[in-house]
Amino acid sequence: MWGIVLLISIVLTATFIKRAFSLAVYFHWLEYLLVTFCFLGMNTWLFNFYLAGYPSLGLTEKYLPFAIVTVHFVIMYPLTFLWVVALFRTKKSFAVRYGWLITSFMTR
Amino acid sequence: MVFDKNEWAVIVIFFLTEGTATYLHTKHRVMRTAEGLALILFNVYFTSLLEFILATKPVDLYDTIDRNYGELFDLPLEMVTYPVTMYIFMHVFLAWSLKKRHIVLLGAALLLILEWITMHFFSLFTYKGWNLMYSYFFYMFVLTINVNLTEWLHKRVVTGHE
Repeated sequence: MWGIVLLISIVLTATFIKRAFSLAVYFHWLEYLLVTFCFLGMNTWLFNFYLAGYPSLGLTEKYLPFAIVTVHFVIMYPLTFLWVVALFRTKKSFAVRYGWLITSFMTR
Repeated sequence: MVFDKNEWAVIVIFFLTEGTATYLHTKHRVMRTAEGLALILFNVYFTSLLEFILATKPVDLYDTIDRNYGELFDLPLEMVTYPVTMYIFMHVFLAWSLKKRHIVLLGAALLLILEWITMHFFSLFTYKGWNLMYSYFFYMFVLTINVNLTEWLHKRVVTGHE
């Protein structure tokens, strides 16, 4: 069961990474790198800190669930912020930009 | 929180690395601010990722500072000290035009000595399944990635790639 979830997560993450590359056209290449590293770094550190403070997420104490959590929280979810930043860059409407921003924070 | 020698060590290392990096960046700049920032942010991610994998359950090979879980002094250590140290090494790599294998081997040895000092005199790390020799190979791996990233970034910035 966990193995299937992990496989789906990896496939989804690979798709996310591939799609994230297409967002590079909205940024200068160095700016794109900075934004990506910033989101990945901050999210990972904060998730790590949260998990350390709330050991109730005992789910992560086994290898397969830990791998799933890693793929989701440390790679996939931080990358979704790139879409939000791209919305700001492409000057979408106020509701769309902030709607996605708030949704992104709420799903973390 | 117990404020003892390892917290003092974090404070001293924090100011030492931050001061050195600021001095190098202002007085002997070899890379642009955005380039250095990209390197530091990459290392914030890399540090957090590897800490997450190696220092939390189920792997849990070592503890940093006093506790088995996150604490306040993890913040300056992981978000500033580790990434800025890599920035300093990459500055040396570019400024002295060193060969990649030289900076990897020498840098790993230097970091190993620093880790031994912080562990032996300041109890900054508590090993559970980790070994000091693993650190040498680990630092070689981290430095190899950083050196290649720096070289790639610097070439693109210098050639004005858009």
